[in-house]
Parts: sequence; structure tokens; C-alpha cells
Amino acid sequence: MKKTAGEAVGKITESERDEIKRLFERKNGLLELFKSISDASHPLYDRLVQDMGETATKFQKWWDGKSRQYRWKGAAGHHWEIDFETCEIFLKKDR
Amino acid sequence: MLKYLLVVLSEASTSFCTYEAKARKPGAKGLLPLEKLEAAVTFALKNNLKVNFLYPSQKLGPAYAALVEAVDHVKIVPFSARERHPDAILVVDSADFPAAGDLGKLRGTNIVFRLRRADLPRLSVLLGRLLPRARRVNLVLRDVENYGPDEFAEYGRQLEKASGRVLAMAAKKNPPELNVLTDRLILDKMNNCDAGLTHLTVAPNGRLYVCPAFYEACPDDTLGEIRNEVPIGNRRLLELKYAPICRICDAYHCKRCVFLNRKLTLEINTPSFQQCRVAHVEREASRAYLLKARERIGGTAVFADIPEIAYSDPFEVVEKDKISIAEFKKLGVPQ
Amino acid sequence: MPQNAVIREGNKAWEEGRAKNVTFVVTEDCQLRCRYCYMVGKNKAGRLPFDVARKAIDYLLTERALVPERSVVWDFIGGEPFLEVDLIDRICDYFKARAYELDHPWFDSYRLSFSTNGLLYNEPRVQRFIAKNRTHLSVQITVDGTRAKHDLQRVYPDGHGSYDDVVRSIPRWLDQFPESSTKVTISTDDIPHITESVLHLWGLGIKEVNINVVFEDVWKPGDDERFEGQLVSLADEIIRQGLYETNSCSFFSKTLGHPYRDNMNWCGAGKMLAVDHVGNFFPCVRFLGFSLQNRAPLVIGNISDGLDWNKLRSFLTLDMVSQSPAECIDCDIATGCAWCQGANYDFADTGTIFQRSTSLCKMHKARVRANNYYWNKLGRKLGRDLRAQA
Repeated sequence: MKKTAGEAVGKITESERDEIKRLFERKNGLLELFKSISDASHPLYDRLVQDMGETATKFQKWWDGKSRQYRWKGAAGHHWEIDFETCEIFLKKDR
Repeated sequence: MLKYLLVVLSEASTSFCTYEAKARKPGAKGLLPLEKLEAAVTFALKNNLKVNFLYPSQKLGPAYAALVEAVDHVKIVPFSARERHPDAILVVDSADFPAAGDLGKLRGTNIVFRLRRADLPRLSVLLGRLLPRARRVNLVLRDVENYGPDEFAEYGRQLEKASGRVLAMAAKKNPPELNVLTDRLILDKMNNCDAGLTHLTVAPNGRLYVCPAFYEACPDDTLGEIRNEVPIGNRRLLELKYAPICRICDAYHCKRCVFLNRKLTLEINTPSFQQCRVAHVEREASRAYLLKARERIGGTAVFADIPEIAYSDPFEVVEKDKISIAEFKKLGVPQ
Repeated sequence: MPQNAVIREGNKAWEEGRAKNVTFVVTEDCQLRCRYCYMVGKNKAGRLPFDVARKAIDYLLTERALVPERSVVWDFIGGEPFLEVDLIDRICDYFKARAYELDHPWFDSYRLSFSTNGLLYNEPRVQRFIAKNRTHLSVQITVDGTRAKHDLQRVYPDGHGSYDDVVRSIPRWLDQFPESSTKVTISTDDIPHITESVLHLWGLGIKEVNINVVFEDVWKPGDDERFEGQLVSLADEIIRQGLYETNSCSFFSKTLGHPYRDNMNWCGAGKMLAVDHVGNFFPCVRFLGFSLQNRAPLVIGNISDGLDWNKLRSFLTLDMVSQSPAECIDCDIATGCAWCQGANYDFADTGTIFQRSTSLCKMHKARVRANNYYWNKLGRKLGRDLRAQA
């Protein structure tokens, strides 16, 4: 999805992009899978819940780590987004 | 350009190739009508075609014999009819292999040897009985579409054993040829069946086909009556240039059977993996044979090297690397 | 003139060339009877049983050596796919759980793709499905242009047009999927509506319009000139209003109209897979029985026996030169001249995929001329040689 709104504040490498892309996709996939098997008796439930927690943690850790490493500009009421095509980081206003 | 005409004289004519002729009782009913045979012979005479007549086991009448003799020809007959046609190419089938006594009378014969998959483990032994009687043996694998990894491996082993026999005879005067082993040594470009390009078939119903296999599979799949212009839809797809897998291949001895192509892959220009693997088992056997022959008997300097290759199916190469437009344009252009 | 003016280009396909595309034909039924639809045999009988889909998914998930792609796009089509949204929901749930259970790479890289007539888009069941799978969805609603153009072709069985019913879905659709595109089909009768239709769609907020001529040989004498005239008129409007900055139309492309440099077959038939309601595999949906007029369906396997790799060999080795006449290979403006492998198969002299249909030749040439006009004129306006970048 192309997102061109927001201020460009940085750029990451392709392998960093691949890293966060995978975490992003996995995080979304786990959340959406949870909508189908939210019953605790489901055989995959426990594994899924644990995985969701771990993935969310890794995801946040990535952003925390990279923003510190690259010292991206931040602002209250804003968040960072990545354009997976260009590897650019944008600062966008929260909705 | 057409060079040959194959005329199937009867519904009960022997198969000499990979296809299976439907089991039919020999009899007058299944014979190619005399007027159709005359039309076929006339067509051959008008177009400078040599004729391969495919015989049944039964004896044909004098009118048939006269027409056959009216044109430059070769007879292909079942083994059981050998005494009636001493100079013919004989078709031997592994399912009905002749007794030693019957083979013993043969000398310098051209033999088509059709091998059933079940007889693959006996291939070398059976070849050992045929080769001493033959000028040339054309091995035809009958049911290659059922070949898998086990059969490819066994075929390789059998050819290795057979090559020892051929090598032993190679030092003699007039050693026999075995198509799947020795043809590749003398070829520097594709030498394929070319059904539809260099030859057509007249089936027992008197109509034209690309080859007898198409008739056997579906008699409605005909090119029509015998006539001067015989259009074949998408004829270019019979040519090597328009076969993406075959045009980069150097298993030059392969028949490139277009019937099996269409049967197994639905395209007449695309071989199945079974055909490619078999051709490359044979190529490798030829390569190994050449190396041994150089060591033991010499005199093989006239044969070009057969290079070692890393693939057993040229599909693996073509899937990744398409021929360039420039290379394609050079194909089929006289050098 | 601004050197850094933005020219919007069409979105790239997700994981372009790297994802396995698998199409489930969930139904052969549709509320409409679009006159140009290549699916000529719509019916209610052909409905995909869940078990068939399940077996297909199991096969693809477990045969890693045969299906090595690290991403997958599950395409749900019909007929009209949202007629079977509950079935689709069940299939998607099954895939997600199974892929997760197997720790399959596709769990981390998949999309669910829909091409819909839009009539059921606001239905609660469809909206629930969208909410449940939001981040993995690609939904394209077909709005065929202006009401006049849309209702020429996209009609109910009684012949009345569907435009008004479809556009009711647009605002919500664009709110949920802002970067969406629509697909516009051009047959002979649609030509006079091209300019107005593209501008209309952009006006509705659909910024990307994928517009193509049909592959069937429906063209009448003079159609190419009329087509060219429409595209030139469209080009003028785009440039005059500066619409190139925020909108794209697939008729205009910098890569169009050059000699061939490579021998690739650009159609993905054979690399993708379509599954019908009895579990047969096809190289693409265009090889199913209800997509073909002249030929038998081309089956390449099934859920019980798997893929017949011999039947795929021709698709995977098919190249441009083996199917094209010499005139096409040597054409100075060849690139972008499209073909459809299924249509080629259907209209060939014999049952082969190696005979490329050339019925679009004049239309392609007309498009190239208009395309040249557009880029040259736009380049003059922006002070850049846009043609040289092709």
C-alpha cells in the first residue's frame, strides 16, 4: 500500500525492511487468526496467545531499537510508518 | 519436405514403435483397400517418396504384392513373417521373444526390438541374443510413460551391461549398431522421427495421419484423404525450432516422439519428463561407451566428445533460461 | 517547469512474481450477465464444496518441493465470489489455522484477493469478513466507467444496468481500501466512452484504473482509429488538468511500444493455479470449461492425484518466440502487446497454447501511438524527456 502522506524522517536497509515486514505480517496474521480461534479449548489457542505476545514484543522492540539507532524525528501525537517499497520511514499524525 | 510414406497394410499390422496396435484378428476385413493402396503408391511415385510398408503376420494376396513392388520400399514385418520376407526389417517383441532356434537362422538383419517395461531387467540378456544376428537393432521402449526413478536406474544399468556386449563386438568386421547406444556417437545434430515433417502415414482406412500412433489413438484425428496438399494445423510446432525444451538439447538420437509428447503433455512440441530422462540415460550410456571404446579399441577419433552435463532433463535448464531472440532467429537457418 | 513533478504510477502487485497465485472458483453463479464476460456458462450448480478447498490447501501446504514460493495469494472468484462469503470465510479460517499449525512460511506472507461486482459489498456478512481479515485483503470492485458505459455491458439477466447498485458500495470501499483500483473492460461498443469513463472513475475517488481491451476478436473496421482518438482525448485532459499527479490509467505506460529485448512469456498461466468445484487443477481460470468457447478444459491435475507436472512443462517453458509470428517478434513497438494464454488456446487453429492470437494488433498500434502522444506532450509540459526513460 502506498502511503505518501507524512514527513520522511529516515530510511532503513532492505534487510531491516525485510525484518520488520515479516514481523508486521506475522503480527497481523496472528491477530486475525485469533479472531477465528478465540475459544480457549482450541488446540492452537495457547500457542497462539504466546506467539502473539512474543511477536508484539519483538515488533515494538524493533521500532524502539531502530528509532534510537537512527535518531528519527518524533513528535507527540504522531507515529512512524514504513513504506515497504522504498524503505523510507515517515512521521505521521495519529488519527 | 516429405521423404517417406508409411503405409499400414492392415488393422492387424505389427506396431514397430512405441504405440500399441490394438489386438485385432488378421483377416481380409482389416486390410487397406486395394484402391487406397494404389492411391498411396501413386502418391509416393509422384512425390519421390520411399515407402515403408507395415505388414501383418498373414500373407497378402498377389494384387497387394504387385503394388508393393511398384515403388521403392522397405518392408517392416512381424518376426513370425520373416521367412516370407527375407530382406525385411523384423519386429521382435520382448513379450513374445523368439526361441534361440528361430533366431539362429538370422544373419545381418535389421531388427526393431520392442521392450515391455516388465522385461527391462532382461534387456541386456535379450540384446545379447539379438545383436550377434543383427546389422542393427532399434530398441523401442513400449510403455515409457509408466517409467519412474526405478525404471530410469534399471535402464541405465542394463545399458551399461549391453554396452559391454556391443564393445566386445565392435572390434569385429561389421559390428552391429544399437540405436540407443551407438547412434549418438555419429550425430552432431538432431536426428528425430520427424513424423509429419519428413513422413506421413496411410492408415488401413486409407486416410493420412501424422503417424500410426495417432490413428490407433483416435481414427478421427486424421489429416484427411490422400491428396497433393496436406495441410497440418500449426505444422511449425513439429519443427525443432518451436520446441523450447528440445532445441537446446543434445540427446541427438532421441526420437522426439510427437505422439507421446501430445499424449503426456498435451502439446506436440513438448516432451514428457519420462522421454527426456530416458533420452538422457541413453546419452550418458553413449558417453560412457565412447570413453571405454577409446580406451580399449581406439579408432574413435572420428567421434566428437559427448560432454558431461549436470542435468538429466533439459527442462531444468529451459525453465530458468529462455533462449534469446537472437539465438532463436539463428535456429533452422543454414550455416 | 517543475523538474520534480510527481507522476503517479500504478501500484505494483504484492510480492510481484514471488507469490504463488491460487484461484478458487467458489461459484459459477453471478447476479449479473455481463455481456463481455469470458465466463460464458454461468450456472448455480458449480459451487465449491469446502472439502475440495480443504484438500487443495492441504496439498499445496504439504508439497513444499513442488510449491516453493514463500508467499501466496488466494484469489476467490466466480461468477461473483461474495455470493459465497460464508464458504470463503470458512476456507480462509482453515488456511490460516493449518498454515500456522504447520509453521508454513505462507502464514507470514499471504493475501486474500477478490474481484467483485460490488453488489454485496455492504452486506453485513461481507463486512464481517472484511473486518476479520482486513490487513490481508485486496478487494477490487469493478466499476466499468460512466453509468452509460457500465450499463452497456454489466447488466442483470433482464438486461437492466447495475451501475446505481454498484456505486453505492464505492464510498465505504474506498474508505476501507484507499489505494484500490478498478478494472475496466473495453469491447467494441465501449470505445466511445473511454475518456469520459476514466475521468469519471477518478472523480469517484478511484485513483487507479486498470483498463484493457478484451482478447476476443470482436473488433470492427475503424475501431482502432476510434480507440486512438479516445486515448488522445484522454491524454489531453489528463495533462490539461494535471491529473497525472494523483491518478493512473494503465493505458499509458513508459514501457509500452518498444522492440522486444527479451524472450519472456509475460502471462503467468501455469505458474498460478485455479481449482474448480470438483477439485480439478487448471493453469489459470481461463482454462476452465465455462471460460472456453471452442476447446475442452485443460486439466493439469486434481486434489487426489496432485499436479501433473508433464502437463505443466509446456506452460513453464513457453516463451514469446515459440508462440509468436515472425512479424510480432520483429515488431518495433512490440512491448505491451498483450495476450492471454487461455484465449490463445481457445482460439488457436489446433489445441495448443503455442499460437498467439494477433487480433489485437491494430488496437495495440493505436494504443502505442496515443501512448507516445501522451508521454511526449507531458514531457514537454514538465520539461523532461519522459520517453527516454522507458
